[in-house]
Amino acid sequence: MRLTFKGKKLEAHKGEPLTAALIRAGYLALGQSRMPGQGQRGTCGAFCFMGVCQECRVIVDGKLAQACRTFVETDMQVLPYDRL
Amino acid sequence: MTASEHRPDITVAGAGVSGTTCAVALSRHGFAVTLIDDQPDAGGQVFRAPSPYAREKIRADQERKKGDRIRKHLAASGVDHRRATRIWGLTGRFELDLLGPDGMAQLRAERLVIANGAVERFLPAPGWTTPRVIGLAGASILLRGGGTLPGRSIVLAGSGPLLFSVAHQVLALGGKVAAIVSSAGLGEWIELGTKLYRDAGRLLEATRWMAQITAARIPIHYHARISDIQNLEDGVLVTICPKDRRKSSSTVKASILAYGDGLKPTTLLSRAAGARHEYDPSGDYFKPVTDTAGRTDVTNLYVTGDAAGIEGAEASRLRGLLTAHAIALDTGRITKAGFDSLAAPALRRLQKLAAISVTMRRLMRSGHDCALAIPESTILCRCERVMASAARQAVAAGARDVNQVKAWTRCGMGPCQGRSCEDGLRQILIETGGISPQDTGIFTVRAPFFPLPLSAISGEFDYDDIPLPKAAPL
Amino acid sequence: MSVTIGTAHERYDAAIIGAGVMGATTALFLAQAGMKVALIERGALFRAASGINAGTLTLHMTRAQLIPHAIRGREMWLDAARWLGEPVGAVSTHGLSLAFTEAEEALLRARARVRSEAGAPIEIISAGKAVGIEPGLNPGLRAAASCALDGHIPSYRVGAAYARALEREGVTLLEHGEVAQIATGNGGDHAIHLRDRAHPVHAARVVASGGAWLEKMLDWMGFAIPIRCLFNQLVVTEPMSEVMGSVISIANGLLSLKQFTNGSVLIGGGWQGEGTLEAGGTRVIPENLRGNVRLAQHVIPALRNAMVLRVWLGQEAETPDAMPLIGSLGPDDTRFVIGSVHSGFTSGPYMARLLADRILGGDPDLRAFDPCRFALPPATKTSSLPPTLS
Repeated sequence: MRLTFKGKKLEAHKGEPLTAALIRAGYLALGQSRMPGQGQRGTCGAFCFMGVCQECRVIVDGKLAQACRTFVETDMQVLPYDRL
Repeated sequence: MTASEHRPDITVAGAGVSGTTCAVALSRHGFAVTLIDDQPDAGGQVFRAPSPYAREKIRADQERKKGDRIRKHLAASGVDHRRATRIWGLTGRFELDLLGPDGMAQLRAERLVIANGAVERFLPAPGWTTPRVIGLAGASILLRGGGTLPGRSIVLAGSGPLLFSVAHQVLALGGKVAAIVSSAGLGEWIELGTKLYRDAGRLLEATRWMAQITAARIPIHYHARISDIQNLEDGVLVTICPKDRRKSSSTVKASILAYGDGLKPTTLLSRAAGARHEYDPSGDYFKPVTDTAGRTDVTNLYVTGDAAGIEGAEASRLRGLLTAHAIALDTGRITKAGFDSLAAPALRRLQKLAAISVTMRRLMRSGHDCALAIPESTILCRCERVMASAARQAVAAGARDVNQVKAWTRCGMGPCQGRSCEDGLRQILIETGGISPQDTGIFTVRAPFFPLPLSAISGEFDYDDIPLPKAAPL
Repeated sequence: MSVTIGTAHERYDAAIIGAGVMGATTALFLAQAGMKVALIERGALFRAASGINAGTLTLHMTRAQLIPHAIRGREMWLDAARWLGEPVGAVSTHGLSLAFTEAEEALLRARARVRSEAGAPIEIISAGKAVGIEPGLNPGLRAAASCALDGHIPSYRVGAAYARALEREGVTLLEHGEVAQIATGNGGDHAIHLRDRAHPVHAARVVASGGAWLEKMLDWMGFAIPIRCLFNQLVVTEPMSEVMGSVISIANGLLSLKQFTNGSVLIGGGWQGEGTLEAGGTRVIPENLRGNVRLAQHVIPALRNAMVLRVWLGQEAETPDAMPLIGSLGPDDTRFVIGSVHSGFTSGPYMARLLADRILGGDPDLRAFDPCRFALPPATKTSSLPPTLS
């Protein structure tokens, strides 16, 4: 099935977690982190894969969701979540 | 929010091996059981249902077969399995706040079994917040559950049996392991090997993995830690620092670093329910205080499986059984003699497995035992991006436990409720503050246990719908 | 730093029991004036009510008689570098109080009048003007009152600043020291006995600054004043884009909203949770969480997109007439008490200054806060009592 990340199409397999689809397509960075102590803003990506760290959050069809706990659906539109 | 119409006899939180086993056994004792789990399918982490794609890609092994059996027994039982339902609040009166596929709900539990397993422990290393660093357990979930490699070449680092399990999983999917960096020494691994004779299946498996890893000529560094992670355009450059300072550091480049320092009980629910917790040096973590069968100091509250202490999957299953029988005894459904007879095989088997569990925990805590001091500019709290320097300043100003450091620095105030930073913070309190592990304390937990959309709490309403309490006087 | 009290012969000029804003600030001022001070706390510095409140600097919710104190307290927070040694991140904003119904509008006007008579710069403005100041407001607003003096502090940060200041001024901070009893000998020496410690703390003066626990503390000293404890619900969101610049409340007092510098929004309003004195807040009441959040979303509709991060219960204490206790337990008594008032965090530093002045020999006007107004001191005392307020 097809979904998009940042507007770009990618292939996914039915019933798999969104993290697997995104990573297979080479997307590790899923959004900006909070402001760090110093230096540049970092990026966040999936870290724990078990729903704890909250770093894999992305915007799925307009709603904030953890990619590791979201299962792919056709035509899902996924955007990065930039934290403030 | 809708209140639950029927109150189940027992509510079990977590459908991993211990929770599911417990729920099914309780059901066989004649109880009405509700099993709540945040995944669509039971199995927890170890027996996570693989995606259809992963099922195709990876040959079924013992673990997958066990997982499928667990799910089958659950489906055949009378347990009310609430799938994809998250617990976001829990009071001392066992009132559970739930968010499930149908929205918000509340459930008041008569008796509660907490079986939400373990989470991975992380000790910070410079540069660990790049997306190219993932957890070791996390890598296992992606590999086994998702049938997907995190990258073409992977460095595996940290503590515990997952190091070799994940190496095997990477190789099975055709990936490359650039290096294994183990905080434990070779001797400690051999010790685990010698204990495994009590569990023939695992021994065979472990032998096969080691043969594979040897054949792949993967460089293995023992008694070594990661001292730096540089984010490159197309990968990470990882610095490996041997504990023995006479040996020199080396670097290795790879697409991904999978890094984790063992497992610890997820104490979120047990803390919220008000159980007493204590520091367990055998595993270097805090856990709820329970007896053999999972009873806590709170009436009608039980904690079972890895949530009560890390023992491994088979031991977790046996604990689940013991807890079910204990509840049957505590409610008078069976006699003490009945309990003793039912519990005996499980207790005997747990006795046999104890030596493996102890060694496994020691391997998992090896990271703590040879941890490098966390550099000042290393991010300690990933959620709030609080650096180690801020935590040390708080300790210098007089903060002596994790909650005071949290109050003064925001470390632990983010969405993960301190689960990723607690161990690094504990290390700093111990090293910089000279505080004993027990006295470092444990983070106070507050609902919601994960960020909740405000709109889910407010729902649809008009101004007149808002029930206003009495206004304050002038 | 936590310190073990040493020999039995050590004697402090003042021992203060309760290291929240009232007690810690009193300790600081007394030490700055040269006294040898011990600050005793059964938990950890600034971690009870003072560490878990909304950090409000508002005047809209302050009782009229306490407006001058809230104004001065706010000034002190904004200028913490001067008396605390470092800024605490206090931000000055103006504050809006809103009315959505006719009844609320009447209440709004009454409250604004009473408070501005007491010195708060509050003026009634039109709904249009309010929306002009605060574009995110629900346009269904009827009227608003604007106060030039408002703001917020991230209260959890304040403890660290106090820790450093107390150390600098040489205050002996004794954390995790629970008082068992206070024995007052002849010659006015007070011996404060602590659980799990062999030697009592000896002091010429005792200050009880236990907030919600003052009733128990006063009991140690033979005084009976009932203190009511409130468990105020607070909700904080994850940082979000700017949805408000003012501190916002509603005329009926049931909502307070502020957005901190880091973007997180704090929702309060005094909705009650369950709790006990010993355990603190124990249970958020689901209908109250829903009601409070609905009110917030009604006032600032953009909050529907917020992510709630934590919900907890703060603590406030209240005397029978809702005025604080500040003063001594008798005309020449060397036992003092301070605290137990709504918005105690806001006015705390100023109230502590008043008490410190009194202890150091000054004569600030504390008549309305006289602890003796409730308690009947022993028959041997001959002071004339102010009439008991009902």
